[in-house]
Amino acid sequence: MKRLPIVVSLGFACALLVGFSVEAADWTQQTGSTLKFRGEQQGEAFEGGFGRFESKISFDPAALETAKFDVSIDITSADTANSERDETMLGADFFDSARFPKAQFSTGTFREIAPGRYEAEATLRIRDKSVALKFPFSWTAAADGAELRAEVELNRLDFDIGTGDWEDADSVGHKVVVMVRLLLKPAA
Amino acid sequence: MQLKTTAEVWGSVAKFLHWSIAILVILMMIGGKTMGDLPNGPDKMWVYSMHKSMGLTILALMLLRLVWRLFDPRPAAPPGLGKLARTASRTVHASFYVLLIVMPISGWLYNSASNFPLKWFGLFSVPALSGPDKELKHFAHEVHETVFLIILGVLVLHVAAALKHHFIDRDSVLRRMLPFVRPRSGDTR
Repeated sequence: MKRLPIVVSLGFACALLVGFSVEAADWTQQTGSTLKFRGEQQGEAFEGGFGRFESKISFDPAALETAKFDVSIDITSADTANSERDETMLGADFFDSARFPKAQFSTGTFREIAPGRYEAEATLRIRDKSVALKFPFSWTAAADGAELRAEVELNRLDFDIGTGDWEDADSVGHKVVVMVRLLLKPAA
Repeated sequence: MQLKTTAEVWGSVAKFLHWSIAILVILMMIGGKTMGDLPNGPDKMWVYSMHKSMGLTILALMLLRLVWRLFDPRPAAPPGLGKLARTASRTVHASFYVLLIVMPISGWLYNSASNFPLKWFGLFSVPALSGPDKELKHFAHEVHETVFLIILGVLVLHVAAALKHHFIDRDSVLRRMLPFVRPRSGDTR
């Protein structure tokens, strides 16, 4: 009987710790978060973005082994402020959004590369192509949340985006830079 | 070679500008009317970029021509040309200056408002006249199509008048604009 309070209090402490760490590590995406990309058309840069994407972020700089990102991107929300280009981009030769309306980004292991900078082993699936990539990002904690920023360079051909006649880099550049900015608040 | 225009004949600068613009405009009108039907692909994109580059070239040539026109005289009108014909001729020529400057600018504006990049024959970037703007895009497209029809009409009048001068009036109006044609001495008819 004497031991019970210790066990109980230990258990309680553990539950509290787990509860805290889970709460501290889960984040919800706030409006103002952006997912943009920069490509090249006939040697000239253009920018676009995805209006709709959902991030599930678990991240605690003190416990990287618990970190996990899962982002679902609504391909049909791609917009480069050019209706002709957007139509082609969503068409069968590029994203083929009718068949592949969602892209999925998920992470594996994380490591710290510099104070406030981390890198995740990640997998990005666009269309039916999954590609492993390194995802370096910065994490800035603020009083009421955190901000994640990342810039990743992709090759559109790795994802079968713009094959056949469109493979020519002179008409559409192979390199696409993806720019991520997540504004995060601790999950309630 | 006579660079400047005389009373008898157009100078070679005026002739060069007239014919280079004439060839480009006709190519552009045929290309512009047909390129929309091309299957979507890099080839279509290339045809459009050529259309845009040629349009900018016409704009540059037209501006040069406008400046040259300020210093270069016109040959004398053939004697006996009626007042109405004179006014018609002046109107058609003035319209061409306006139309062939408005046409490329409306295309350029259409391109800018559509948010397409623009590189002159792939060599250098041309600034956008506006940001992406759906209403402006629609407006510029309407102007581009309407001006196409007006140019077509004015072109028909222009060619018909040149042929009438040559074959019916049998004067030198067409001949003096032809390349490699020397005026007959004292020919001002």
